[in-house]
Amino acid sequence: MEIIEKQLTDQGLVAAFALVGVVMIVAYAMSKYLTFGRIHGSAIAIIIGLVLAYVGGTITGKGKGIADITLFSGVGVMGGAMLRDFAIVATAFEVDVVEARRAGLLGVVALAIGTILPFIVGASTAYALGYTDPVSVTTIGAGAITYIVGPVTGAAIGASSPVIALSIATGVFKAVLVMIGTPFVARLIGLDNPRSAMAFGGLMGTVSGVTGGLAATNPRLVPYGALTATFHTGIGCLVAPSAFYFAVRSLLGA
Amino acid sequence: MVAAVKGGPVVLIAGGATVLLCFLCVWLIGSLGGKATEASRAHFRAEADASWAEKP
Repeated sequence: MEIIEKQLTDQGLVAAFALVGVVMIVAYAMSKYLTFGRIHGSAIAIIIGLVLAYVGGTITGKGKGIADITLFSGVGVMGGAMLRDFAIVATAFEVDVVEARRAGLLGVVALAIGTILPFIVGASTAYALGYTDPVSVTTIGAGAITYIVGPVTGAAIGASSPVIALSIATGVFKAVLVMIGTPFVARLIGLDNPRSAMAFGGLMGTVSGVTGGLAATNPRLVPYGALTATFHTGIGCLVAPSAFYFAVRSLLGA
Repeated sequence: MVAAVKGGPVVLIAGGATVLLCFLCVWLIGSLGGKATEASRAHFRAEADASWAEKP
């Protein structure tokens, strides 16, 4: 036991990857057996992660969540700036120009609306409910784009931890709603052809939400939705901390 | 806890409204697409029928 504990402490980053691996296995098993694939495993994994962070913070009384427990200190390195930025750059490499051309003008329009509209809704809601500083408004607005864009934007412009957590929660809630709601409204909104699926992917953006929702609707539509949705996070990470932040700052006059 | 109480409505309203508006936009784009959407639907159905016919 001592040897294992020493190894986990000394090899913190490796232990962190192992922990995330275990969380992913549990999350995907829950997705498969408890929700019958209706809620994507990654969304469940994020919820587990947030619960673990809360538990870690409650036990230690500190501010870094589970990373404050010595055994899991590697999680702090894993979630730190270096690997976070690496992950952001990795999303940009997912952009395949040939695939992007296949989506055509429809994909571009859907992506543009799907990035701007959620941001406006999220930012307006945050402002209306008492978050008046540009950093918080931008971060929560970015969270409404996807749950990755929110924390990336928050970290880039210096948002506080509670605001970043809110932006993640908004994104996760959106993804879960998309996963659960899509099969029910698919017929109503005409989501029964590749063209609509591509528009759907570009508008919703959240890859896990889109793939989960389309898989529950018609699995053959998944690649079309995923085609446009994959660009969403990269574009959001690019414009939210820059153009959107400057726009919000000029509007709120800070 | 204070952040959760203050932020809960933000999460629910922002997430819910975003998804509803995006569903509406999907319907609008599909409807405005007219012939292109119909062609895509017909092609997709034909593909599905063909794949069913190929199955033993």
